[in-house]
Amino acid sequence: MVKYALKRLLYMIPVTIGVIFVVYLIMYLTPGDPVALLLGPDATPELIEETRAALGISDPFFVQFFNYVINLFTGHFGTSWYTGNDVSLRLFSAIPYTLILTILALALALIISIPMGVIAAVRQNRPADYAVSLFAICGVSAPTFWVGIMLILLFSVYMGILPSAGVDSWKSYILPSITMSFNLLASITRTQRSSMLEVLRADYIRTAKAKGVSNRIAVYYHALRNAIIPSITVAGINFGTLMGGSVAIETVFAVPGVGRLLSDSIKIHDTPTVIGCMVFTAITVSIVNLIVDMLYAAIDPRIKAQYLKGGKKS
Amino acid sequence: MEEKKITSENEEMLNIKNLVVHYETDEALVKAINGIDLVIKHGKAHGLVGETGAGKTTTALSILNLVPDPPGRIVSGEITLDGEKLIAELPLTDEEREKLKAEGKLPPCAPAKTEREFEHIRGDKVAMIFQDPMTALNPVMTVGDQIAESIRLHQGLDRAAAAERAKEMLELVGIPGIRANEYPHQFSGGMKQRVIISMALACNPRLLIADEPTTALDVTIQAQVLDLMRELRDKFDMALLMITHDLGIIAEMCDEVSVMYAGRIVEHGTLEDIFDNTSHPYTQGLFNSIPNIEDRKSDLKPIRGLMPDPANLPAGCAFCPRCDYATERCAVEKPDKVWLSDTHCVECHLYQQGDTAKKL
Repeated sequence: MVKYALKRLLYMIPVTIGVIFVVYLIMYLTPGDPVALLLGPDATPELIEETRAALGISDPFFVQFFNYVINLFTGHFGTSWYTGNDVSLRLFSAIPYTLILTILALALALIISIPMGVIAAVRQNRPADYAVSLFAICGVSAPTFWVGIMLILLFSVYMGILPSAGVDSWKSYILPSITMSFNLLASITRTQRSSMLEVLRADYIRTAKAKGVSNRIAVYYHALRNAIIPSITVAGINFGTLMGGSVAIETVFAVPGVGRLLSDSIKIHDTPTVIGCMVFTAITVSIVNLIVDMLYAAIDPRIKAQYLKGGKKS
Repeated sequence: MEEKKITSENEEMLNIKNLVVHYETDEALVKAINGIDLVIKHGKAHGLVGETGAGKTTTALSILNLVPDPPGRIVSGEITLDGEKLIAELPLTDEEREKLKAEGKLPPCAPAKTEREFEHIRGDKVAMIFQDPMTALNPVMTVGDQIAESIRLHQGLDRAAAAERAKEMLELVGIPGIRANEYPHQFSGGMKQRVIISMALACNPRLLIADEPTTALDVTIQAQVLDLMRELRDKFDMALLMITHDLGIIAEMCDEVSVMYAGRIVEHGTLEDIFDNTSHPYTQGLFNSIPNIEDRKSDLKPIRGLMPDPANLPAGCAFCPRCDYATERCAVEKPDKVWLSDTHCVECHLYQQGDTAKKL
């Protein structure tokens, strides 16, 4: 099991390099001259050429790319083309905001959606089920930024109990994390409901009841462990979307996190900062996927057996 | 009069009286069980034979009050287990009874025990073995835990003692106790069925319901599992309700047989009554459908047609459309129960009016 985890951690290296390649290529091909943006319209051609050489932009694409990767493996994220500062400084100050926000959103989504899905399944075709399904459909179809704006209107503008922007205290995290979790929450609820419905009809639930197990234990112990796996999958897959959603949410709520740094950097064509943000996102998503796979194995012995088998072969 | 009979005969392990179970959906009213009577004496084995969809499993689930609700509903009837009412008819005055009868309705019934009391009965006094061992075990729990769970629930043992007892139960069915820590996917089909049997027997049930316990198994494993069940039944002296569509299993395992068709018991008797004195055309059809070992070239004689849709049963005898002996009367009038001897009864117009001599 540990061997498998280590193997997966090593896989993250080629994945990260792949991400850097794609992002670097996109940034390279994107029209617009970062140096012209940086120096403004009054810059002389000589100055522009000089700056380009100093930043290494005049090198061919592959030279730039390899230089960047080699720098990264020695621990350097490069310097921002725009501010001239080390990228890692800005990146590391932004990471905590995004991490707290995503973890809060993920936790909120899981804590609310799984019981809601279970209740909807247990009370299938009764009012509770309809209420949950309606909520889930609204949650899936509402755009994140719109939900954010509506929440700001309600809690900050009309009720005035929560801050609408910036990060001053723990209160500032409430609205952005609710907004962020909204979509995920709804899709996990739907998944949990349908997988629970399926499991509740399974023969082994009938076996458990025939043994004298109470309905509650049959649902929350026998059924839930089996029915939670699809929800974990959905949470894992959507974690990437969650990170991507941080761009919109951090902009709406003015949170100085990675998402906002990313969108700001893209606007000014600051390739080193953009790539720094993308490397962080790629690594986080990879780690979350690894955690998801480990969770599968912890929950389902059949999946664990597969991993162990795979580990022996290599 | 009937009431007296039940209370006085406490040698009865199980008494099902006039049980009616429907599945009610928006599209249709599926009449799964339409008034069956079934008595199992202590320590006896009773076979319930019939095609798929005849209502055998629903009968078994009714005893445990586990008919999936919705859509299933026990509409009418009484179930008595070892002298205790599980499902009881609601008390009615004679007037109300007459009124219901006039309206063509059945006397309503309700569980006579709370859900909690049923939980105490399930797995303890009555245990059930299910048809498909591949899906009847929880894939994410070790088999030891699954056996121990029932022991802890009913015998109040602590975790360690229950685990120890679970190992003993596994050894009883021929599985090394050390495998208690393994998961169902690590066992073969036959082994899984053994696990399920050990789970069912863990609390020494007085009545074991075996719902097609060998249908999903290879023929070679079937014989092993049946031998094991017979051996354990002798050891624990429990009553058995054996649900199957295999007359061979009935012949090997049972004392009495009920033949079920479209939610009714069409013929009932001792093993001899049914095998040597087969009366109902449907039972005869079942016997004719068995391959003949002596004459392998002889054609099988399947019963023509299919069982009627239980959502749309014929007005008369349910077997009428497939019966070679059907008369006009069969199509319009439901046959009553006719007793051919003290132990043997049949629901068929051919035997009505005391015309028992008229053999097919």
